[in-house]
Amino acid sequence: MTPFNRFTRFWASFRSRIFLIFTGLTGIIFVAFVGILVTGEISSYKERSAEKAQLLASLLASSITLPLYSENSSELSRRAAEILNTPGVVHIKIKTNDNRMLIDSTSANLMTGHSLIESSVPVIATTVSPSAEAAISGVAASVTTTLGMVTVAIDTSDAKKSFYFAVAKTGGIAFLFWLAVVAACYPVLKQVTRSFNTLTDGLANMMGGNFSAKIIIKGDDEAATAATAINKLAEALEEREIENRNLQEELVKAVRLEAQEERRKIMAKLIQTNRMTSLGLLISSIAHNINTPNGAIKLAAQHLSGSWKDALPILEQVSKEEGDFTVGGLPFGVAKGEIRGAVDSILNNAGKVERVIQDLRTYNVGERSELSPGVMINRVVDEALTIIRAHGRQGEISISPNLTTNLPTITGNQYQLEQVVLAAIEPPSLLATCGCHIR
Amino acid sequence: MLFITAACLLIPAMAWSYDLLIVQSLRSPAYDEVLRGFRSAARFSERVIVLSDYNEIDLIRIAREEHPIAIITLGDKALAAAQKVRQTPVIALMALSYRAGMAGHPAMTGVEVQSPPERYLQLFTSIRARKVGIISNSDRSGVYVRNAKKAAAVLGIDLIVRDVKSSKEVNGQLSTLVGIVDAIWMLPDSVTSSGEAADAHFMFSATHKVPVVTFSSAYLASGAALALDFDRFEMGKQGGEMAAAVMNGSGILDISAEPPRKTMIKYNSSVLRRLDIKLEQPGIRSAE
Repeated sequence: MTPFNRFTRFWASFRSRIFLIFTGLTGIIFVAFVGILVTGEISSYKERSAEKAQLLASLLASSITLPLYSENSSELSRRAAEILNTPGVVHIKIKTNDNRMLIDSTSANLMTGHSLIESSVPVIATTVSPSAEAAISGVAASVTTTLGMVTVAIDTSDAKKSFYFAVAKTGGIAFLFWLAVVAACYPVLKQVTRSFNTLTDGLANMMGGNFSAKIIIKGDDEAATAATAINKLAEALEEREIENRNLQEELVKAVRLEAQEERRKIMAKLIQTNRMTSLGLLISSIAHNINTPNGAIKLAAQHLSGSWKDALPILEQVSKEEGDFTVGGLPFGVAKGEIRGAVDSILNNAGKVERVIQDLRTYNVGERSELSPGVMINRVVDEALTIIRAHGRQGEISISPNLTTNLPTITGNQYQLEQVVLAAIEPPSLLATCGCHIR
Repeated sequence: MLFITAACLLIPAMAWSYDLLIVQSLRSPAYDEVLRGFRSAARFSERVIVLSDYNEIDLIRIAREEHPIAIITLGDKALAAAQKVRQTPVIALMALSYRAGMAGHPAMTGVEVQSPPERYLQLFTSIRARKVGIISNSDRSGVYVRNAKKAAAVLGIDLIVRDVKSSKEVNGQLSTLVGIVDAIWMLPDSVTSSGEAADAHFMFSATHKVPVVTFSSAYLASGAALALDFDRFEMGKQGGEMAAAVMNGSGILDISAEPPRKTMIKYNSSVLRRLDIKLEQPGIRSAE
């Protein structure tokens, strides 16, 4: 790890930031503390000097009451000299009440340019004893009289030295104390923030996707509470992830199945479409192949019908004249009706075939069959049975219609309805083989 | 109408008629006690004037207009004011400057505040003081000191006198008595017994262990060892008797000044104990 990376990591660390902030704050506090102390020391020094001057002046004033009153210069000089010997005192003045200077003593230590603090105190003679007249009359026990003024000057030129000393002393003590606090603070901070580091490490691990990793922090502080919450959240996320994974798998499976089913349906539809297309083609082909012979049959039946109409009078004349004869194994009297019915049936069925083919064509090309009103149900059934009978003649099918009369007419396509009736009954091939009876 | 006019004319002319004009320097319980003694001697009609109640008062005009038989003064200021009333006899009480004031007035008598020297000397004898220092002003106390010296010589007491002109000299003169006196006698003198001078006496006493004998028990609290105090009631009574004599027709000059008739010795037991002094005279009472 490069020093820059190490510094970046150190700077980004929660613990380092707290430590730096704490260090900075305590440093500022200690600097402010030193500043306040030094300022206070300077102020205190001045106050002390002023108080000292005041005190010494008061002391001198109280001690020279009688000498000043009696203007005893030698005694005043002696008292002033005593005070002048006090360290720091450089100048003493004693004046009378009428401003006459009695004593003006200066210390040998006083030099030009020195800063001084002066204090003047009046010399007050407060007599304890009453005057003779007061003693006789019994009033005014004490009288206060101002006798003069005492001025004491203190040399404060060593204030700078005192200031430097105060700065060095308080600054040194504060610095050592600050170092001690910082040195003691780091292990404590390390201990305190250990849980946060564990928490952040655990979170980093979880950010990598490992929700199974648990953050273990002992204690009941905020970090432990947060770790517990994060662990629960991680468990929930892990469960959710498993659920998601399962759901995704199921979804994939479902989609796959659905796609297969769809494909299968599409294929079936395609097959059906192809089949229907083929069926359409087949139907078209069948219709064409049926329509052509049916047209021939119909034409032949028309010719046969015309011919029978022409031949019937002749045959009746012959029957009358020559007696009955057989036609097709049937006596003429029976045969003439059967033949006429067979020809009509051929024409009728050929017409039906033609219509069926027409319907097939219509269906094949997708056109909708037209509906027509007045369709009789019994007629539809009869027509369907006629078709079946035509097949039944080929087999052993017996059909006995029992139709209800007076049925109302309906609107529909008769041929399609006939197909419905035919579809309702078993297919002719099946009917042909079953040997059953239909009512 | 005539009566009213006469009354208006006559009322201003009516003088305030009384026997004695009593002039006090100030209001004081001590003066009240003296006056009680004064009034106990005889019954007088009187007018009392307290000088401290006025900024300025013309005593001469009052005396001229009201014609009192005598003026009774209490205190030095009252005496000084009465000195100017030349035509009226004056009886001075409670005045320190009595001796000096008497010299300037033709008809003055009174009771001195100073007890006879013999009484003081007896007191010095009782404390075995053989050399007694006195700070005096010869103008005020010269006669008294001379009498005291004579009496002291009889009793074998040596009075060492230092004369001062002002109270400022007291401290310096006291310092000349260091080691040569057994006691200090503080006289009732406004020069030597001013407040500062009195303090100087007691400072000297405390410094050099010399007892101070004074004229008033008021100084016992300041440091005096003994005080020969006079009885104020008795002094008033003395003055009352003098006034009665004047009222009875005696000439004021026939009535000589008197010392206080009755005195009391009081002492400060603490000071005496500190100075290791034992009183040998019975009947002396402590100031406490």
